[in-house]
Amino acid sequence: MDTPKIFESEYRFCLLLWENEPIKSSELVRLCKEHLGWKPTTTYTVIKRLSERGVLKNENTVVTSLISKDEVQASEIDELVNKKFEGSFPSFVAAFTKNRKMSEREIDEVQKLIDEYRKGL
Amino acid sequence: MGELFLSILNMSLSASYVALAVFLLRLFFLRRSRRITFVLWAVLGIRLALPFSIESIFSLIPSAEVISPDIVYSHTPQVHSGIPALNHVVNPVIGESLAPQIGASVNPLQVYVAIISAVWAIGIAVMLVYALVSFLRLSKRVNTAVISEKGIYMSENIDSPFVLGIFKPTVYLPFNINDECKNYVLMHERAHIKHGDNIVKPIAFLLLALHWFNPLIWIAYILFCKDIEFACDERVIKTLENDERANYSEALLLCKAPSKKVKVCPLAFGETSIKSRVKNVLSYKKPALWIVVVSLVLCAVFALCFLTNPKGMKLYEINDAGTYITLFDNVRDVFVCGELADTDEVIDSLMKVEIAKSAIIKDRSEGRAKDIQIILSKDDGSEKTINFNQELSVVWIDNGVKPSLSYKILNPEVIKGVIEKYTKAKLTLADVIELSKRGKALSWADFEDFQYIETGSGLYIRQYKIDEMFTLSIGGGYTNVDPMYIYLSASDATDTFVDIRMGDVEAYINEHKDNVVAVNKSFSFQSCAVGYSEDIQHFMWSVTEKKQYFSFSSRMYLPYVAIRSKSELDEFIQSAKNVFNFDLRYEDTVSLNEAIREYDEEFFKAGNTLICAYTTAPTTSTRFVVSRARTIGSELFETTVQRVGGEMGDTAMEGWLTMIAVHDIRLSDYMAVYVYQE
Repeated sequence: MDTPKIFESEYRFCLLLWENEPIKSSELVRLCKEHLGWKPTTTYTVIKRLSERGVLKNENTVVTSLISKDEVQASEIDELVNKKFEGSFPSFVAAFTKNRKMSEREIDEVQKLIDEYRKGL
Repeated sequence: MGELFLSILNMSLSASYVALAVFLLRLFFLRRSRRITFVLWAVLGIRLALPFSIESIFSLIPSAEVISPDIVYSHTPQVHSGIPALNHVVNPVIGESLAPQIGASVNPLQVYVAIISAVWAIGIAVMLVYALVSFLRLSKRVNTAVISEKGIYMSENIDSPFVLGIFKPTVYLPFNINDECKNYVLMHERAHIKHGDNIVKPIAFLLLALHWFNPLIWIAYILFCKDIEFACDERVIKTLENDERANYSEALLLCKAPSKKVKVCPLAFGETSIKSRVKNVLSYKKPALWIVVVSLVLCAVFALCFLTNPKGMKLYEINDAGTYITLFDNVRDVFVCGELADTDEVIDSLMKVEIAKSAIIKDRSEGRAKDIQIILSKDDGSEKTINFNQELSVVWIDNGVKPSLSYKILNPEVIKGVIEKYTKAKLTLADVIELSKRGKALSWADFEDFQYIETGSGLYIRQYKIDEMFTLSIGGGYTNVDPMYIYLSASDATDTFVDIRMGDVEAYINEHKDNVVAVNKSFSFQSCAVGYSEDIQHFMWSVTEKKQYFSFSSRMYLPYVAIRSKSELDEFIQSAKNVFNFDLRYEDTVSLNEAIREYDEEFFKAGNTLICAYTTAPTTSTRFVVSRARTIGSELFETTVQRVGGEMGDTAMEGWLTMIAVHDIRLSDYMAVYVYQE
């Protein structure tokens, strides 16, 4: 199943949800007001919209996510790689590392991920 | 509604002059200081919002009321644009095409005005709904915007920054804005909020909605929105170094959506023409002090000239007695001091006469100055008489129904020429002596060449005022037969005159010419029915101090008592207790009991003397009025009571006590006090 599209402001909302779930919707309204400057109605609208898209579920006023932060990030990267790098992962990594010095530790972590990926094949 | 529309239309028309002036002056300020242009815009805004009544001679507005609200009732609709050439072209056309048809139930203009007013109202509604809808749509688009810091939200649904909200203005930025841009954009948007544009712009839009039919106001609105942006840029770049200015203009280029339609939502700040703004930013120089000073002076002059309406009003704007809006309509003939005059010439000069807006004499009596008269004779046979005093400083108009109050003329010079052209010579005493030599052969025609005033109604009575003392009056039924009388009368005496055809004119003149002329005293009066009886007559004559029993010509001396204090009044009342009926009253009068309450201690302390005179009338519908109270020289005081009405009603005799309050007079100083009925 494709990960549903999440817009920037919805993503900010999801960040609050992932950090605090499961969470009562009234509590979520309070958090959104504090961190996003949203009116209660806006929060409820967004909850409804995202539950229709299958991003979260709202049962008995308790909100839990159906998609994890990793999944959303992965799908964002997918989209980015497809749109801007013609689906080529190496060109993406090249672009990523061009303006950014990677530390030894980061390089090791990436190496480890690649090794594990190889084993799985 | 129609009236509201007409008043907005008038405001719009006079504001158009202001708008044009703003467009011109703005060019001067463009390269100097944008902020100063807002003084100009404020003047325009005030003109658009307030139906102004401050007047000054500096006003450059040709006319504050081009279209009178009374136009819908006019026989010949006219506009008064303050520009003679324009009036000349427009008025004949609308006068004919929009004139009411005889027999039609409504005036066509009333219908047009009603229709146009409705269209106007719908236009306003459309504008307001448009504003509301675009505001709601925009706020819906940014309702999921996420707070970034206080007053600043970020949203993925927009692609250029703007400020939204009237009372709580909020800056909205797109998510993808880069930090450097963000910094400059915020400086700009904060300048908007600092300037109060979030309130000013909706007000401007509201005014635009009211005046939506006026294209000049649309241009003004667009230029105004431009100036708002420029002024904010100005505020930002004032704080920036030169190289930063380049960055700022780059930010303008980058951060604004490149080819979006001009956002017209009046409650947000859509951005106008990036190109000219960038040019403006890069060419900005701090204005020199002298330029600021000159600009401020210019603005002050501008405000004085355009914030005020022309001082005074025109003759046809007098509306204290019904309306004189049609004063100059359908004029067939014009008579200046009795002389047939050139209609166009006289009306053109009358149109230029400016008068003070408030009356100087709050009086409608016929006795006011009418030394110079201009009579407008209309096609329908009616007449309107414009009366001036000798100095041309005061004017009042008589439409034959209800005369207007008297007004001060602000520019007598515009009418002077025409009047001098037509005024005849004044009759002099030498003329009178010369004419009197012709005796019985004198006719109306002999006096035609002199200035006179028609005073008769029914009879022809022409008065030739010679000087303060002497007046010549000619009277008769027709002007083609010998006059009934040609009297020379002197104002020092109450009842002497000489017919110059028969009497000794020179002797009469010599007798009176050095006498003191009459001085009118201010007075007020009340008249109460007290009953008619021989007893009252006897009683009143018994208390009369300076008795004048005999009757002289048409005058009848009345028994009276002069009262100078409350105790004297009480004494009089006490002694009259058994003779007067204190409770008698008619529908339109008060009883004596009620009337005397007015004359209390304070009344007498204020220096008033109360003269109570007894008059009798043959019908109960006859009433009495006091026509004058005056002193003649230092010896004579006289007051005249006149009968009014009484043609109908029952023919029972009735007696009236007429109480005349005269201010500041000591009757005991006078040799003779005449109280008579004329």
